[in-house]
Amino acid sequence: MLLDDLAEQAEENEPNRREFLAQAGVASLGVATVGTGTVAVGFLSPAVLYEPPKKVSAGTLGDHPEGTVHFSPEYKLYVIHRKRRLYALSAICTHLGCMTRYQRDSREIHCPCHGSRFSLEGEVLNGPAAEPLPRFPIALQEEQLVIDRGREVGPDEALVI
Amino acid sequence: MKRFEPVIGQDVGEVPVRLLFTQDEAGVLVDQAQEPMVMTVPHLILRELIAFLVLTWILVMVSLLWDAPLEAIANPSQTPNPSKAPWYFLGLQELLHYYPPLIAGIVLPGLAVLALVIIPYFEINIRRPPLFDEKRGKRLAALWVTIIGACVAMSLPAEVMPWVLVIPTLLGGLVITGSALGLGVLARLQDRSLAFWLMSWFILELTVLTIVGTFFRGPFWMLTLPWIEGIY
Amino acid sequence: MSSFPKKKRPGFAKRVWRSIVRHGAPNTNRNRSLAVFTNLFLHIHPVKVRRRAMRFRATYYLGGLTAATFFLLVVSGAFLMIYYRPDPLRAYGDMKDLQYVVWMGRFLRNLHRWAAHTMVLLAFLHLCRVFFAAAYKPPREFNWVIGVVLMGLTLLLSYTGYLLPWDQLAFWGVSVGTNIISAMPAGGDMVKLLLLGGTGVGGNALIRFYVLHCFILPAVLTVGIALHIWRFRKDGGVCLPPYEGPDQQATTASKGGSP
Repeated sequence: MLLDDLAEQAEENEPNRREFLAQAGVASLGVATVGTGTVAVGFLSPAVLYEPPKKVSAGTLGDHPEGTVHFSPEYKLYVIHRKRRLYALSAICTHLGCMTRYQRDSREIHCPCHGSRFSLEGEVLNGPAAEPLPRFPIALQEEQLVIDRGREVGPDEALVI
Repeated sequence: MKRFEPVIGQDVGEVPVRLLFTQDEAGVLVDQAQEPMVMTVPHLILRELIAFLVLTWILVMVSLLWDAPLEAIANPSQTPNPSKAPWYFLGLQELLHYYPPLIAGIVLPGLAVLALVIIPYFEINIRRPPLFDEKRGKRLAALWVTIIGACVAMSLPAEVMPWVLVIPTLLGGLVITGSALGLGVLARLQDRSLAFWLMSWFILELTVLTIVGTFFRGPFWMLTLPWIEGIY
Repeated sequence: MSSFPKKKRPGFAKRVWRSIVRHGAPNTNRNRSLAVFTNLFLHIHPVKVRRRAMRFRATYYLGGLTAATFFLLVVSGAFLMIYYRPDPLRAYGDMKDLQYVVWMGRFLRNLHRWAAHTMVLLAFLHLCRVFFAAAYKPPREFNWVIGVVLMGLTLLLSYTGYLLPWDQLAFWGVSVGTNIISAMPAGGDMVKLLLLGGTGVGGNALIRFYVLHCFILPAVLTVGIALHIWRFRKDGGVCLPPYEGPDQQATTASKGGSP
């Protein structure tokens, strides 16, 4: 009699306790998964990046006579002097990051990877690229041209000479 | 109740001997047509070994005769012209010429993988009646509406008109129509289902994209003819 | 006790051999069966197979050959790892060493590259054949999904392997590829940063791709292939139309049914 009552009681309690334990187990598994993921992502994220400086020097005004297009492979940009305006364009294709090339005969900038074409002002002429080539500000500091690759300026800005 | 006769195989390598005694009351299910079976050792193992050796031999010969390409050392300031991926990615690279990266690089491959994954979970896998068994006129009309619609859908988001996708689609439509009308050799394809045509279309587009990317693209990803300018 | 006839104790070499292989020569069906199911590698096979399933025209052996190319790639890749160092200053030089200095280095590199191309091709052909044979039907639908994942892993392995020589193709292929990833609307830039370990392709990217190519992806692929083959075996092996007697096997073996 007594034993039967106890058994009944135990049966009533058991599902709750089991459910609780199961839920606690699943929850701790979830916490462990999230923790592992966080540690993995944190570990994989580079803490310090050794990358080239944003501000670079492009020589003096005399290095860029009227009508020239200078390609700087090191800094990945063009310094263009045309119609008495001096400006700097990024040489990295806005499509998927290939290095573009200046075509002397057609006076256009072409991308070898997927065939995008840009004008010397950086506008897209044809092909899959959607954005124009970014234009960086040029400042004259003590006879030196300094290009800030960290900033972008509008399509008409240039150093008027 | 069927009674089974014990059969004694002559070749022990081929027919393993098994005896089954049943009482009259015990029902036993036995396949009526017994499929010929062979022992895995040696029959299958030997075939596998031969196939593996033939494959290895071919690859060794190829490796002795042709060198794997190695271009100049990586130069972050100069992209080679043209810059081509390995052949199995050239279909994707060709696609990137037409569409923005989000569509060509993420959406379209994602849709292709999704379509492949869900194939078996739809009824299209079970043997179905041929596509044009009934209501041939109506279904052909629907086919062409779909094809024209697909061509328009492929052209709208494109930055460059994707003829490489559109033309094979239209040709595929002609082949399907030809098979539905039972023209010539195409009549053989009359009993094919919708799933067959969809997969064939997918493989065709992939193949055409890869071939165009591999053989018909040169500097600045412009069209070239391989027999005139060579393969880049 | 002493009345039992004394059995001659086998010699030492024979005892060692028996401790490894527990069955006798495979000249009886019993021993042939034991050869299959007492061997870890062979027991992916049943003891007996249908003659129709074994024909070349039934499967063109595409799945098995894909696995075989993977095996060749693991072996040749392990050899290449001996001389290759994943560092932008050394990687390209090590490739040149493999080509011109290391004895048979050029051959092993060629083998690795051509086998990789072959594996992509064979895996794709395998996928097509399975589709046109309608071999993805229930109960095999999940195995088809695993197969699609394995195809993706194969392409990822080729792609990560492409960066390692540190030549122009490698550099620009990976630059373009990771820019595609960053076009992904949610978290694309994050994935690119974690994959490259920086904003551009450099030393961090090289070692990450090296770890992916030489350890993580092959390990995942190995487990995936094991799962794929195991399920294939549990689902009854090669998918063939029902057997209808000896006359029909020639005509139906290669078709399998239409999707």
